[in-house]
Amino acid sequence: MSGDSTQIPDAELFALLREEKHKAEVAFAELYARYSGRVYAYCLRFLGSRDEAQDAFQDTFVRFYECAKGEREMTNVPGFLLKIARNLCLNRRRDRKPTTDIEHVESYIQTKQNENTELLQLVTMAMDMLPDDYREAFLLREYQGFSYEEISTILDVPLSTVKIRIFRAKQKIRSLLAPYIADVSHER
Amino acid sequence: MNDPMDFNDSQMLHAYLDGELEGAHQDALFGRLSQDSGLRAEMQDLLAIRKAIQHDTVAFTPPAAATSAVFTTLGFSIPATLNAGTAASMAGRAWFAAGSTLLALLTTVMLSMLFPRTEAESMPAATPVQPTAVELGTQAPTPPPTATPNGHRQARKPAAVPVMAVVLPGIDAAAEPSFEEKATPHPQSAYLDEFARPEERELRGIRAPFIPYNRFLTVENLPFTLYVRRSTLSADPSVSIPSRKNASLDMNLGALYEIGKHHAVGIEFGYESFAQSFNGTLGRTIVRYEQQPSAYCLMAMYQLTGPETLPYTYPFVRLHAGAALQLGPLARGTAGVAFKPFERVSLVVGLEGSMLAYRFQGNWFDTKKLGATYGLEYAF
Repeated sequence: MSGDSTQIPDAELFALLREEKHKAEVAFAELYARYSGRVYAYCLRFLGSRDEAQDAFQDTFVRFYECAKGEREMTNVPGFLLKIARNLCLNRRRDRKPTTDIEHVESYIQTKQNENTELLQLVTMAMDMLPDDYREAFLLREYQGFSYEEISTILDVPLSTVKIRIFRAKQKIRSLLAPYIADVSHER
Repeated sequence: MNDPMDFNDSQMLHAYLDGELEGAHQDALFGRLSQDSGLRAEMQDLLAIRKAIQHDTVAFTPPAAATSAVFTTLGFSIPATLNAGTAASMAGRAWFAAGSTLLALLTTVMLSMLFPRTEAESMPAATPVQPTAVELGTQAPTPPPTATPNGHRQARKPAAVPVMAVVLPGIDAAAEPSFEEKATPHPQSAYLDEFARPEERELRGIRAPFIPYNRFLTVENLPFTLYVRRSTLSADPSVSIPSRKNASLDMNLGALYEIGKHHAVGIEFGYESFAQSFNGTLGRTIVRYEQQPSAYCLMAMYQLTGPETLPYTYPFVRLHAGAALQLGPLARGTAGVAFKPFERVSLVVGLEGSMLAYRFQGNWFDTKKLGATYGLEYAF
């Protein structure tokens, strides 16, 4: 593979993952550079714990590479990545212990401390209070920029369901934050 | 969301902000916005939330450790463009290294001030213009303060060389009772006649140490240097687990054998800890491990010593190769200066970098350390 890999479309890079190691390595690095931020953002904001997010994030890309060897074509790489990340995050949520251990609390606090924007802290706290299906629809829309149609495909639910989940998620967040948004926005 | 009858103003607003409202319904929304202050407030809130999310840089920046884990697991090398996360720590190390260099230089200057040269030592060694050389016979003058790191070794060379006392023109050498106080030694006069008897030296009025005849047969005649040193090496800052090393054991002992004027080889033995951070699998989960084991280290080394640069100060470079027992191969490089105000004792300061390689679950990892080292050397 020669030339600038940043100019190569996703589908071609995905196909190169099945080629010899050097080509696969370059293609993987480029896809990682394009989408690692979005995948990590999804994992972190969905799970709320930095350690858990990191584990899910790593598993996502490892599984993505393994799947790429078997897949023939891929038209929506970010959607495929988010699907893998979503399944892994859902598994982690399902397997999560009902009681919160001290490490999880410390990780949560540390994650929040790193977010030095007050309104952002409030938004992420509000997101944590959403039901899982509302939160993931909201994340895919606001963090990933997917269209309602794309979200419908990723979540495998009807378009109308996506619309209502996103709408209710935003309403819920706004209702939680409305008393603070004006103050915080003016302070900034 | 194309049927305006399906949703209320709020839903229309959300769809518009998400780019999902067709143009035909936008006019209706704009009309409602111009009349409804509550709807405008809702729009402002939604835009504020979106703006806050756009500043969520923490979420959009995968940790460097996660990136490293992904690429390591797949057997790929991490591209430089993705390694920016470690740039901050590298910059910190660079600052530390620069600080160490400055510290070493400051130490050298301070020691030079603390141990100033005596007047005699400060006398220029240059031979006066048009000197008159008077042969005094075979003698054993006290060797001058070492002019090179190996000066004291030259003084032990068992060769009988006529000593040349150089006096200023117009001065009668025979009538000069204390010529040894004024004479500037000829370069060759540094060679000692180790076979000259002490009474003979006293007769010639030269204060020279008594050297036994069989000195060249003793172990002291071998060009050995022993040293002890400690290091202040900074390790991987991401490892939070403290070392359980006994601090009192944190030192290295070494022996150097000179194989040339500027070259020496030797061995070093020490005990130190290594902060390790690596990724592996635990079941089907990728796990990041941290530990800071301590180990005995045994290394072979080579040293290159330069000529005197500042007073009594000799730069050197030392390369080590060996192993940290039960951990893996270890390489180390040291660049520093040896401050040698006395004939046998030197104070050594320098910069040091080391790298330990180790294996875990079939993959190789490494631990790098960078910092300062200081110690004392004694030359036999």
